[in-house]
Amino acid sequence: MIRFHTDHYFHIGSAHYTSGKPCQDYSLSSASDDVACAIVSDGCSTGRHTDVGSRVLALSTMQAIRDHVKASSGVLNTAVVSITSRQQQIISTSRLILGLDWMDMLATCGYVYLTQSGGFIHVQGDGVVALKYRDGHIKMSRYLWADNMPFYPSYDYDSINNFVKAHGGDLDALRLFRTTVSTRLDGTIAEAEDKEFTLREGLNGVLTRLSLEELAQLEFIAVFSDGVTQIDNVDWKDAVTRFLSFKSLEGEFAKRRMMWEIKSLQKTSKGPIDDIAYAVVRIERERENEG
Amino acid sequence: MPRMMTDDSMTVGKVGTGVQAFQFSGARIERLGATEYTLVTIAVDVTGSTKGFADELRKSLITAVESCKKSPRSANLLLRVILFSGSLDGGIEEIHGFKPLSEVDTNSYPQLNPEGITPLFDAAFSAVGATNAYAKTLMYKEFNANGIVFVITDGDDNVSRSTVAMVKREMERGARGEEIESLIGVVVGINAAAFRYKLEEFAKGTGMQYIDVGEATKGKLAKLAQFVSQSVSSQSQALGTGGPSQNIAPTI
Repeated sequence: MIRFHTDHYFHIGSAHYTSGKPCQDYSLSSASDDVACAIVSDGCSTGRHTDVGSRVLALSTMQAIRDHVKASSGVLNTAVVSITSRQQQIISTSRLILGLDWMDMLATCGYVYLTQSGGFIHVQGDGVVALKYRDGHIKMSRYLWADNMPFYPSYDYDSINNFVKAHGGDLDALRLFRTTVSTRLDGTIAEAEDKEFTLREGLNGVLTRLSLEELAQLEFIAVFSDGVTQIDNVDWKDAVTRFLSFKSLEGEFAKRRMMWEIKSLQKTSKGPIDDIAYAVVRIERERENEG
Repeated sequence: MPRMMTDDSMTVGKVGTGVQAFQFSGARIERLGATEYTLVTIAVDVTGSTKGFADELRKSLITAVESCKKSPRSANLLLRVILFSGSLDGGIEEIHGFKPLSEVDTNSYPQLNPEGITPLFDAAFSAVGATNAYAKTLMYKEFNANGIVFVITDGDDNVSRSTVAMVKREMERGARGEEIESLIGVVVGINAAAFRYKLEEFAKGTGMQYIDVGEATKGKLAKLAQFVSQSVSSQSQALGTGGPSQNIAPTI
């Protein structure tokens, strides 16, 4: 038996702050006895009201996960397909009810869904995923689309066609790149690996499955918006490491960490230039709790 | 040393050294879940001269605490209540250390039994010093923190081991903003017309503010409770701005 704890935070970047624009990143998380989820969404800066779109997308994803939990009791076999389908359905309905344009809905989404029997991370678009192990080392992956033109899960049939054309029209072309880095305990890089995905693979989102055995080795799983890669004078790998260096774990642990770190960064630099968001699941093994 | 009333959920700290040391308690940091806290201390004079209005003073204290519980910032307040009198062991007795308001049961506050002479400087030093010390621990764990201290008295100091300079040093630590974002200290005089000059001098010498309630009537004590809860709310809203609240009323 494992116990889940979650928290999340999002923060406006200096570029949007100084130009009077809203924060277009959003994050959400939730944990119960059996299930945990953590979601980030990043609105497209050249869209319209994508601050609203990112929220609608995150909330739709959360509801889709809740619906999956109810319908399947946490069985994960077809979870990604049913969550994506339900997510699309809720986004479409919400958009119409709220009178939003499809341009308002352009946002990426990264989420973690964990149960007592394992879980997965699903990246729809771009961003960073980080796994912090119990021994302290971190494995982090950055997802980046060619021409900085990410896939948005709210695309409908026509939009997907346009998106494919904008990426050159070849579904088998390698258009999504993942850089994975593992750090040692002192923060130095132990190994790095690059992987490329085809446009076809990118349209489905990249899935990372986590077995129960893997979960047992992990202490934190975090999803970040790509804002973590755009902090003034800070390499994204250092930023991830800092944001996962929690000093206390109760309640709003992630919020405290990121707020404190940003305040510290802003003493000597602009801090986050782009909006930044993260959502974190802490995995506590039951026997730790008993001890 | 003051008597401590702690349990496993609390941790004990110390301010000062040697015979000028005072213990305090506070909620274990690992139990706290918010991002920021205002540390509130209410120090109540229970020397012999407060006998005539002790019951009303207790009611005023309880009203102030219950009002704080209704504040929109109540989840971000940690409250410590101490009594001071020369008749108490070490001059100070902690009713409870810094703890979330949701865990404060005012029904368990003891009846005040005034006797003894006035360790005013000790009360102020313990209150301000403990606020700084606990805030430092919070800030180290990345909780933002500020503080407000009320020392409610009807007379001048005549028995303390602490000095005005010691209280001043602690208030200055608060003003520097290194260990606590900001700190407000308020000396509240009640039935203290004869000592007004002395108390004003003490407040001025330490960097605290002096507020005179006037006579210890039911109405004035009710206003004191209102003043305390409003000042707490105001200081808590200032948290994150980098400075103290500018809205502490100059009179009651």
